[in-house]
Amino acid sequence: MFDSVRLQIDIVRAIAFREQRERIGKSQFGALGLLLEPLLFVAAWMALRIVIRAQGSEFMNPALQFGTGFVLFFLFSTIALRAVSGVTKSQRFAELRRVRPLDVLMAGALVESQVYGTCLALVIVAVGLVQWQLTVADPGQAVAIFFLIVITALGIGISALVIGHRVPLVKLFVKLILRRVLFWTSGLFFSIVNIPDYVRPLLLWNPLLHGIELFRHALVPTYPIPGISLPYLLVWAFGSIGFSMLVYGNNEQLLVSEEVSQ
Amino acid sequence: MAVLDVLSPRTGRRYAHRTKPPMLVHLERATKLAPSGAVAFADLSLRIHAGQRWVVFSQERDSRSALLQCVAGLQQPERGSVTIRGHVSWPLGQLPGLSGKFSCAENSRFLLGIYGQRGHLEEELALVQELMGISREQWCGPFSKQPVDIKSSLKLALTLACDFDLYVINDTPLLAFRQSPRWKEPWQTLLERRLQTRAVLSSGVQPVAGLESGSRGLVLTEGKLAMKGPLEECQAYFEAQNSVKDNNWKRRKI
Repeated sequence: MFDSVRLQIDIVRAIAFREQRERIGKSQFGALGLLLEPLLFVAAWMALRIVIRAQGSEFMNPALQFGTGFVLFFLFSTIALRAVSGVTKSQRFAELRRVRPLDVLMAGALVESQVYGTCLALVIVAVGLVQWQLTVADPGQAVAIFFLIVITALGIGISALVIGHRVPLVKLFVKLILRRVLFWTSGLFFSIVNIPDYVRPLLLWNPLLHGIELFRHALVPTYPIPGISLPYLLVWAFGSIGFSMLVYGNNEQLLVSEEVSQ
Repeated sequence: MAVLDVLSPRTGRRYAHRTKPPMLVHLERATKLAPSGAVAFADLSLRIHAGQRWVVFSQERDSRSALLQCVAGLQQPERGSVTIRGHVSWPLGQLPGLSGKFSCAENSRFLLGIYGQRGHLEEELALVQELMGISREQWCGPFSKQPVDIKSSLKLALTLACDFDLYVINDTPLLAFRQSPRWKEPWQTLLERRLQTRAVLSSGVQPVAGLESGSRGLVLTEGKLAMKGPLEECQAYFEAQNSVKDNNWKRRKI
């Protein structure tokens, strides 16, 4: 069993290597462009948020709070949206029999994790340089939360893709939620502690909110997280990926998209 | 000669079989149409076991090509089934997954990362580079800008560098490459090693050198299986058929 897992890891790494090279080739600034594009996007949103309401959060540095929130959100939505869209024909490598559609999706998630993980590290280091103090109280938990967010995104994306083939409305609904609803309800612009008690239970259904708040708490232990639960995030992560593997097994061909890549 | 070890497609490791050689590919009553719409082969059943060597004779290039594509798993027959249990190569000289934007080194790293032996990536890359015998600039330059002979040599080198259970050989690119100045002793050594120790399915008008002994043949005539048996008998039958056809054609011309 370990040999087959190692073989799949090799295949995923090879595909991730190729995708990374392709993206570097497409980017105007080469390898630096891979980081610049998401960083500039996040910086624009952060600036907008800080300018609109000049007062930041009282619990942690506003740049750190908003920066981590945006990066983690875009990581989650990029991976999930790619998974929901399936594997395009050019990505499929149909002639390479060893490559499965799931390998392509996992490789994509790996590349996005590398890019956004580096962005996250840069944000944390940049804030640390300004403050002359690196704010990472529990790096182990921070890394674990990061990977749980990645796993949740992949699981939700694949599940939505497979179910969406039977019930197309599910795919549209999930895309809408990923693009619009989660953007406003995942704690990018606020801390859960600032949310009124009568609204908080509704927002706490969102697993990404738990992930982002737990990540912030791992950086700054005094950052309050009322109602936030690590077990809830764990259930979502392993539940979604477990369910997606269950439905993937019998529906592998559904992961291939009919759309032509551009 | 029996080969007792087979590469597991799941784990990528070789394991030994103590009983009869395992079956790698099973075509069952397969029918395939050529792109022109003609029947490439009809109702063909074929089992290829580990260590066996097969040669396909046919005057119709579409028939030979379609059979190789189906055995390699690149195409599916219109009727019947193809079951692939082993680690089967793509037709020699036809290498999927290459990108013109990447360099030879990057393309090699990608394909060997998927099909190479685990833990031997750097050795296999060195083998491919040695086989190709090109400069570092060409090795790291974009694949699309390389001359045709370098592109052909890369495709062949990558196919031979990977350790498959069954090699599918379309003899046309191989024969063409053998006549090029790039064909040197390391190529011959590696090709012989692969042909001797692994199963082979080859196609063409003549069998590939190295496959003459111990091989089996099958003859396709207008898409139908005309003969299946020892290579020498199939070759003789095929040549006799061709000479009859040539004589008939000459008589009609007169």
